[in-house]
Order: sequence, then C-alpha cells, then structure tokens
Amino acid sequence: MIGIIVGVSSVVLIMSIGSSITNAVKMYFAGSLGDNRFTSYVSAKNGKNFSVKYDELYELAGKLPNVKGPLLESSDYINGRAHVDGEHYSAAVLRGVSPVYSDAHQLIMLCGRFINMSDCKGEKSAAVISNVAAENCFGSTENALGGQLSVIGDDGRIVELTVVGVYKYIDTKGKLEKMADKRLLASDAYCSYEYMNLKIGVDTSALEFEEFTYITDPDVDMRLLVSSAQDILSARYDDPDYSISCYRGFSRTKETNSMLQILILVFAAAAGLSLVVGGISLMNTMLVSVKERTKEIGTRKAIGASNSSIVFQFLLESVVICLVACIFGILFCFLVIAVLRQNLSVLFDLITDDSLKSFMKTNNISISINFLSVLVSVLFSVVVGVLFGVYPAVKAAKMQVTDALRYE
Amino acid sequence: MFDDYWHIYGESGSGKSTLMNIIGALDRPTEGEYYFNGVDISKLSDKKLSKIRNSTIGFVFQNFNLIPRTSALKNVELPMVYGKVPKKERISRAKELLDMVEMSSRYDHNPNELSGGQKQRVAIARAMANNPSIILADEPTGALDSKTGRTIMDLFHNLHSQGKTIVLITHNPELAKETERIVTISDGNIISDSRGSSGEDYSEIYNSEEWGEDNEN
Repeated sequence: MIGIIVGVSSVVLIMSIGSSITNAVKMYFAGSLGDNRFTSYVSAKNGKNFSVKYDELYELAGKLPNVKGPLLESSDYINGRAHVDGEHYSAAVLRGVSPVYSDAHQLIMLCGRFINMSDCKGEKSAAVISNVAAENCFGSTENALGGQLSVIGDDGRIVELTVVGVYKYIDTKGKLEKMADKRLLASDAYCSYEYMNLKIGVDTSALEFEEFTYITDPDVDMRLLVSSAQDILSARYDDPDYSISCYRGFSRTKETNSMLQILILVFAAAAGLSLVVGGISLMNTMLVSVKERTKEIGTRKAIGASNSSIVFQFLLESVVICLVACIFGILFCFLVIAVLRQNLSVLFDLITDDSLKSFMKTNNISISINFLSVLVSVLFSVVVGVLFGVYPAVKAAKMQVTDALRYE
Repeated sequence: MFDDYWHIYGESGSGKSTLMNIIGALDRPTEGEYYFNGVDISKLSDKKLSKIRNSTIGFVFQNFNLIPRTSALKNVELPMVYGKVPKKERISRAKELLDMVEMSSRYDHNPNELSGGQKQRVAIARAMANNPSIILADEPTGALDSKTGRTIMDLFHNLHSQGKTIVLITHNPELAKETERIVTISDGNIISDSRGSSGEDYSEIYNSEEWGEDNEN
C-alpha cells in the first residue's frame, strides 16, 4: 500500500511540476525568442528598387490568417522627461509603436489599454506609460488614466500625450531599488507609430519597407503560416525580378518543449517504476492474505463459490487496495503542491538566472496539479492491482476445498 | 434417501470425513463413482460442482467456519449471493432463517462476538439458506459443551421433523442413538448399518460398495 502511495504521488508530482515548468518556459520563450512572429524580406534583382508601402503592410496583414498585424517601431525616439508640472515628472523614453508591440514584448497591462488601431489612424496623442512613471507623475496607476503629459526631449522636442493605459515595469536588474529618486528611472512610454512620425516629421504614408515583421496569434503552426504567407506575398508581387521570402522568428520553444517533455516523461517513468515495486509488495500482501484466509476460501467454496467468483473476489480486493492507495497518493500530492504554492517565492529565489527569476516572479508563474497525470496514475494503479492480483487470486481459487477446510 | 436422518459413526481416522467430503461433493473419489441425483460427481466441472454445493447441499462444520469480520446476517446471505438470489429476497430469507435458529437479536454481530453455540446456529441457518435437499454436519457438537451441543442436536431434530435429510458425523455414540439410521465405519468400510432407535440392522441389505449408488438414485 505504502509502495503504491509513494509511486502514485511521485508520478503525479513529477508530471505536475514538470508541466508547470514547461508552461513557464513556453511563456518565457514566447516573448523573448519571437515565437509569435515572422519576418518577410523583399529583394529585387536587375538593379530595380522594390519595397512594400506602409498601407500595403496593413492590407497584407488582413489577408493572412492568424496574423495580428505588423510590428512597427518608429525610427527615432525621444529621450527625456514626461512632465505633468515642474514637480511631477518621470524620466522617459518615448517610442512610437504599432498595436501589436505589446504582444511582441509581452507587456503586462495594469490598467487601461494599449495603443489601438484608432490611435494609429487618427494620429491621436494616446500614450501608455509604465507604472513607475504613473506613480511619479500622478501618484498612482489609476490616477494616471486620462492624465495629460508633456514629454520634453533632451534635444528640446516636445510631445503632448494623453495617458490611456499603464503597463507593468519589469525591473530585471533591480534598478528601482537602487534609485534614490524614483523620478530619474527612465522607463519606456509608448504612443502610436503614426503620431510619433507626425511629431518627428516623418511622412508615414510615404514609408517603404524592405523588411517587415508580423505578429501572429500564439500557438499557431508557424511553419504552415509562413508558407501560406509566402504564397500570398509572392502572388501579390508576381514579378520575376522580385522575390519575397518569409522566415520564422528565432523559435526554439517547440524544440525546448519537446526536450523538456521527454525529460519529464523519463522521470515519470522512473516514478512509475516505484509503482511497479509497490505492485510487487501488494502481491506479497495478497499472497499472505490468501494464506491466512485459506479456511475462509475453503468455506466459501463449500457453500457454493465457484473458482471464478473466488478469483473475482481477490482481484477486486487488490484493485480496491490500489485505488485507495492511489487516492491517498493524490491527496498527498495536493498537499505538497499547496505547500509549494505557498512558498513559490522561496523557490524562485533558488533560480540563478536573474531575468528568468524576475520573469517567474512578475508573471505569477504557479504550480498546479496535472490532471492528466492524475488520470494516468488512477488507470495505472488499477492495472497494477489487476496485474499483481491475478497470481494470488488464481492461487486462492485453485485450492483444494478439503485441504483448505482442514487448514489451521 | 431423502427424508432420512442418518448418522455416520466411526473412530478418528476411520474414513468418515472422507465419506462426508465425497457425499458433499467437496472431493472426488480416487476410484469408483458417486452419483448425486443421478449425476456422476467425479466427472463434473468446477462450475457445476459449485452449483450443486450451493443449491442442494448445506454444510455444518465442527469449527463453524463462519466468515470472519462479517455479520451473522451477511454470513447467512453468502450462499444466496453465490446462488444469485436478489438482494431483497436474500435479506428477508436470511432474517427468517436466523429467526428460526433463535438468533433474531444477533443479526449484526460478527462471529467473534458470538458464543460457540450461537456460531453453530448461524452456521445451521447458513446451511439452510438455499433450502438444500441434504444437510451434512461434520461433528457439529464437537467444539461445544454438552449442554449447548444438546440445543444444536435439538435444532437438527427440528429440521428433520420439517422434512430435511440430515447426515450427521460424530464419534459420540450417545448422539448416534438419537437418529433413525446409524452407519458405522471402520478403516474405510461400512461395518454396520442399523436403525438407531429400533436397532434394526440394515447391514445385510447394503454392502459397502453398492451403498452409494443404490441410495443416491
């Protein structure tokens, strides 16, 4: 019984923690390694110039399945301070970006919204600032919404902004701690790509791109998407002198995931082995029980139990023992997982890589029971119960009635 | 032989238990044949044998052989479980039988909470569960004091008067006298077969080899 409890709980624990790690890694890689984007390159032969216009970028995005939009970032940025008044300000770097920027960089919105298409089209002054800037300028993140800011660049450029959203500043290097005056911590502020262009004197509609990146929905089959994107783009510019090629982002998520999954399965198999050991000890217990109950078996046969009903009785018994042990094992796992969840921050402190550590802490990465593993271990313990119950059960059934009755 | 009250009497090791095992279809004869209701027991499959044991034979053992950690009621129900009697019917029949052996107040007692005499009563109720044609009792009073043994014997008399065939095995000549017919065994042979109360001798009618066949048919 103990053997099976240990076996079940190790299988469930390993699979649960493993799948939580896999998920965390998946999330970690999704933003930083570009698993949700692909890039297209336009090249021309025979000395011709060829590029895609700004309007065409959005037009193409609409034609491609699972594509959210082009990732655009203004060629220039304004480095300076965002002022409410002379007293309330925060160091900021203002960038003009397209709406998908938040997907590409995994920004966590604390309140309000990110830049959207209507901001882009209307060249509106909508801006998204960090919570650090919001606190510096408006006292709190909530107060920031709707607030007016003037970004004054070090070079003297001035841009007026209206705050529509606040994102969470990820303090990867612990800068915030070290700053005596929080107002001097430079964080990114975002406005629409188009508004920024307007402010820095760039004609957006005249822009041409030889290289552009699209952000896609997460978890799409990038291989398939890239090939269909290539087809659509090539058909659109059907000219032997031009070629358009699409490349997947620097993606390792799938490979890493499958590697992790193999590792986890190996560990789970090792844990499963302890289930088998538990099964053997169960068989031993059942054999002793059969021996002890020889007389009972004899009596049962004398009053009309057939061999098959004796086999059934003992098999049922071993399966029930296994299932009860399995339930205890699963309860134990819930307990362990609950304790782990309470002490996640302690666990994360053990991570040596700083950026991974802060990612784990800021994204509320947690551990939860993997229900597939619960199902698997329940099924597995039934199988163990039957497998290791058969021999004792058959042994019980094969007893001679007269010998069994005489057994003391 | 239905409607009979037999007594198989013999010293230890005389072969009476073996005879009982064969009559009860617990064992197959190493040689010879045994017909039970016209069926050759030695040729039956386990399934059919267990069916016969279940429905037509009731066993009462010297050491009661109740299933431990199982209530009196459940013990009496057990043969009916194997006989696939529906649950409701099973429970009411088991209660009826326990009432018959005056164990009404002990339905839920486990064997370890019962005295020897009470255990044997439950065992008798269990033997009667599927209304068998014959009850085999192997030294039913052997583990009981004489007073309790008396009440158990009275129970058997009672069952017999209700028309049950009863085969008793003892090595107690006093008890043997109470039955209609006494078969004495020694060294595996029947040496006498007589009327218990009247003393009439059957031994000339039967010899040991023909005994089984003639009577079971």
